[in-house]
Amino acid sequence: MTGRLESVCAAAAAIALACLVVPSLAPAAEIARYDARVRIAADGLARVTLVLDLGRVTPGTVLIPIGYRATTNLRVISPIGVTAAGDGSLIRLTVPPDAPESVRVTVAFDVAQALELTDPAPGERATLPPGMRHLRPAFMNSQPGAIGRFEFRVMFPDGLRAHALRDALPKLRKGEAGPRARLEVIDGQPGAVLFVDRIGQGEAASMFVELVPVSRSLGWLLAGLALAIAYLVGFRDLVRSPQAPEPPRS
Amino acid sequence: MASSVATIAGEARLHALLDMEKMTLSSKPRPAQSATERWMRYLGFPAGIAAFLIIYYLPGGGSLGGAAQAGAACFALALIWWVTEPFPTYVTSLALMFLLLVTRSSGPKAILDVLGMDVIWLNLLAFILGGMLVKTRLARRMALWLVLRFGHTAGWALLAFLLLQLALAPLIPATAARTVMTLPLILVVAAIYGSTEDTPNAFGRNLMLLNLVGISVLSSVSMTGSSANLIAVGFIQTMGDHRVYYLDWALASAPVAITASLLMWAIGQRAIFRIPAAERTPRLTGGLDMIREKYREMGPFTAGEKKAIAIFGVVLFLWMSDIFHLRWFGVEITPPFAALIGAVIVLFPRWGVLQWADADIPWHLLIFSAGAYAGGLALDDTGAAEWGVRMLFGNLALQGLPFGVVYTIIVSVMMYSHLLTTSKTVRTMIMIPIVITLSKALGWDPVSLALPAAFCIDWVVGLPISGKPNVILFSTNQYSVLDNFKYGMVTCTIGVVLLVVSAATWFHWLGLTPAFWAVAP
Repeated sequence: MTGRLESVCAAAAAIALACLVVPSLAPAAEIARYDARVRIAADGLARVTLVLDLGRVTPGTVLIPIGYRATTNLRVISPIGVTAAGDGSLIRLTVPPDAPESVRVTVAFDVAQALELTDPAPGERATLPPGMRHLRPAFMNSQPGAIGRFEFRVMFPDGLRAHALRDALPKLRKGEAGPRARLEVIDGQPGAVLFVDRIGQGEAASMFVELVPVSRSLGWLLAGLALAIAYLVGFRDLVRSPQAPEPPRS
Repeated sequence: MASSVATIAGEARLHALLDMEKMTLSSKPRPAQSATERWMRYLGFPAGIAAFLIIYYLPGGGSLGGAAQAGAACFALALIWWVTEPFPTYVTSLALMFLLLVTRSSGPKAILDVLGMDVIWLNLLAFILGGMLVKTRLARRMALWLVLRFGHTAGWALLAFLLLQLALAPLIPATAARTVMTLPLILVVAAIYGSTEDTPNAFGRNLMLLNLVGISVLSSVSMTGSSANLIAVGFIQTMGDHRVYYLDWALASAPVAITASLLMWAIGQRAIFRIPAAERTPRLTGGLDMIREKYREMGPFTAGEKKAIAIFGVVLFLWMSDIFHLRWFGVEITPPFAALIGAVIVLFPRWGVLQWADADIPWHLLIFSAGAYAGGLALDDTGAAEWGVRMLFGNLALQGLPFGVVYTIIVSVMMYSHLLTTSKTVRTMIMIPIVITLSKALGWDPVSLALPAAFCIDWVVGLPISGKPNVILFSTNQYSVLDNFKYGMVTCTIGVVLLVVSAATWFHWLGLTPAFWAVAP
């Protein structure tokens, strides 16, 4: 009798668990387009705007991976009715029951310290030039559904420019024309763009940009001018006309 | 009296060259030949620095990274120094490598790794294999035969080399391998016509640079002529939805490449480096009779020559059979490794034909090549080359222009863009997708612009750093960077003219291009 009761309880628990798990595996929408725009201030604070084209929307919760660990000041810009809540590296969007099948959702939030400082700690040996900052946005699709078109635009802080775009992932797929990421002027501000056509579950996209101060040192100018003058003086015999042979002394 | 002493000394040098047991390429700086060259050397140094400073301090930001801007500044400085030669080219290369590091255009590993690139290895091994051909006197025998058979005059000797390169092009796709193979022959024939490293003459310049044209341009005769051609065909298929067949390519490109090479044969010796009447026949005392006598003196093939033929045959076989390597060996033996196994046999104790000391490796030339490649790679890796192309196409308002105008611009950009890169593959990967995208945006069939653009891939003849054959041939020290630039620019301009004329006629008849003055719907 006790054994039978145990098996019934186990079956009921399994059904209850299935009821909980199955809806959470099926997303309430698929992300057809993921467009992130990040404006970074000089203090490293990033203001992020996400424009998401959601398709096959059903009422419920959609989890959106954001590529940052923590957000502040999260708000939904549009449409009215959708609500958002931060959940670590995810945003939990709640879609109202009357939402259309396809909807464009715009969300904004802030991220502290989006720039990596490269200044050495006291006593540490510097490996990078002073004033250099690293920008390494990294995104992973941790959700079951694939993301269609992914575009990540980041605008650099005032006073900094890209020295080099060192790396961009994923690597170009067969038949895909590059580059994966490139430097670009975005809304009149220097920045970088990362494009990926499809990001499946568990796939990542990232780039690595080195930022340096906009102003260049005058060292090269001084050294170059000094060298050029020294050469013109030291090597003037190269173009001196050959001296006429001295007349024979009588 | 003085002139006869000079003539005797010159002839003694020629005979010594024909009897040489090793190729020696000295690292002595080439003396300035004229007052203009002296002024170029004097002003070249500050001009290079000025170019560096202007590019380095241009307002940056936007879509051009700081590393790309600094890399372009370093490359411009080096280019001016290579052309004007204020000091030897290898010193410029070393200076460039240092500048790339301190401007953070490239990292130390990327800069130093170029000395291990396949082109450097192939260059090094070329001198070992070339040394074998010279030491065993096989190169001398082949050169004397070639001159006796075809070289009664300079013109025929030059044409014989062009035909040789045309015959080799479909057999050996690796251009560097073709260069390595023919270099000893080129050197000895140049010597027979009086052109050596110490006394370069117009025949030597024509011979070296015509071979460069033959090796590079004739690679565009077929789509398997280089791997970059195949990459372009792949892009046209995947991005342009058009399959290009072997015959499509050959029918369109071969007439252009062959005509351009023949035109350079004719123009080079008459207009670019005019060969004086005195240099049009072999410069050995006794002329052809002397050469016949020398050839007869050589007698039958020696054991060393037979060994050299066998070793070279093995290397040649490996170069030609690369498509079967995976099936036979489970790995592809690339051209440097085929040459490497040849070098192992050449240097093998007792069985080989050469000792290490006999193979005079010109390290100064390898350093020059390494620096040049480091500079070119920096342009590619930092995105400077790609930025230049995008800016150029982005600033051209091509919408609504007739097909012929758009075509001419695209072909010209593609043809001359090789001056900014050292890799055909990288250039193809940057340019062809842009051309395909642009064609679609303008409303033209992508193949009508992308395929003719792909025909320009192999025309990398403008500078000694533009390709592997360029580096190897420049190592003969018989022409300057300026000579190369002059000859290369004439070749490329002829190429552009021929491609434009072809677009209006031959390509249109083949169905490749629309009417020349057609406007996009």
